[in-house]
Amino acid sequence: MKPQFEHPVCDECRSRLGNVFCSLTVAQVNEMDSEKNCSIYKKGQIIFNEGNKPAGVFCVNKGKIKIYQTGEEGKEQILRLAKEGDVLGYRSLISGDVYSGTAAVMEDATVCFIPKRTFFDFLHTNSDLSTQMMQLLSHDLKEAESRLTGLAQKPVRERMAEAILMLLEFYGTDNEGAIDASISREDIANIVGTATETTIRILSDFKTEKLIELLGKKIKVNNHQGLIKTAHIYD
Amino acid sequence: MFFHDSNHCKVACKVAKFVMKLEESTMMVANTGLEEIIRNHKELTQFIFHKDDVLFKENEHPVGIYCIESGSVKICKEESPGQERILHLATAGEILGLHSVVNGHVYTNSAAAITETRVSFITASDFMELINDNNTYKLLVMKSLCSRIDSMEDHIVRISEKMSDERFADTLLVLIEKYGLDKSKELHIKLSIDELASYTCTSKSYMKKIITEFTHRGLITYSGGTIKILNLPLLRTTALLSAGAAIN
Repeated sequence: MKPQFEHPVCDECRSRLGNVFCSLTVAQVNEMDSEKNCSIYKKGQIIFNEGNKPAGVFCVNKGKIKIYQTGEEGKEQILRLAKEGDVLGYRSLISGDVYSGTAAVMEDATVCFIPKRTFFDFLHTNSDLSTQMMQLLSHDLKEAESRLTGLAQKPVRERMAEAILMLLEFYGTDNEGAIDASISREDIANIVGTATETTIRILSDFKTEKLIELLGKKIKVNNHQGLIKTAHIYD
Repeated sequence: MFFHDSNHCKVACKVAKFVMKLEESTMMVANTGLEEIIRNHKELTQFIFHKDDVLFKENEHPVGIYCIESGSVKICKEESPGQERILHLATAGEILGLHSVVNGHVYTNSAAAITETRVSFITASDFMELINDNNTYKLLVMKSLCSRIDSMEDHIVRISEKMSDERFADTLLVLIEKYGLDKSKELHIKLSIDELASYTCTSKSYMKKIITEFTHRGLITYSGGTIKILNLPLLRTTALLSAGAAIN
């Protein structure tokens, strides 16, 4: 017999407590629970595609996801990363546009889908939720701005150090002290905005300089201060 | 230059002589509707900023929200000490300082006028009071933020993908769309080499090189901040990735 997939229950979902949906009332949590759909995605699967019309928002229960735009020549530029507790696709839904990027799974994920109608219902009736959404978007804008500064002028080496620090901050460390996400070299290249070969070369440079350690696909930061210095982060 | 000190809001609110009458017909209205709500607020103040006047500075505590009535403003962020990057060129109908006021953080960027600019100003507390219990207004704020994030992300992709000369061709197309050309094919905005370099995300010396190259190729002429577009179709092809190499 096929093993039954157990849907995560919103009321017990620890991921929910860390995101905008923590401000929902008990009745709304129950409503969300009955309206949502959950799916398991394997590594490499697409959650939504650039250019498609949004039908709702996605709430990540488990797993790691990248959101990227495909450029004119088919090159991926990763714009954001997501982990458990993050909500995806709200921007296109609010602005009424099509998805500006594609969301693909980097590590097996469980993602819940909340229909558009339910989401807007909450936004109109729950003042705390709409305030939090507003603040979330403000934060996103701030992040996008900082991403933009430094992208073109900083040499690849500095950008790579910055990306590793960003990954460390975003995903935290596992019990071996490595960054808790196995991200392919290609994905790292697409975050930094450089070629895969360059990424491999710089990572091995960093390894030689004892800034990092490479454990298979995982990266362990050995010299945090040294990495900050390499990244030339001023603030 | 006026109102560039940190408490300029207090001064600003009292200065009534800069209050101007709106010329409704000349206004370009974006589709978010938020600027209409701001304009209809009873505590609205209007200012005129001249070229290079600073509206607000990065890391200052936000005093309020600006809505551009006419003119143009550059939104900059300090990249490394002394070096600025232009993130965005805002035109009539756009709202500035929104995300800092909403989050209660310091301004994450600076804004300075690049032409004579007329703005409507509403204080942070007035604005928050206005939207506080109104979820429809909050949705409009969200929409306004969304469109800014979209344009920021487009910019990110453009920079990471294209070479400097393709980016400059692209930048020129963006400027043409934003400001338009007059009868003699000149851009309706004056930008210094520094500003062009900063917006294209390249160095000043390289910017000069690209301008010389573009002039040689008969794409544009540049003098005293004025850009004249000579060959628009060729500029369009240059902005495309793969075409850049073929033409050279």
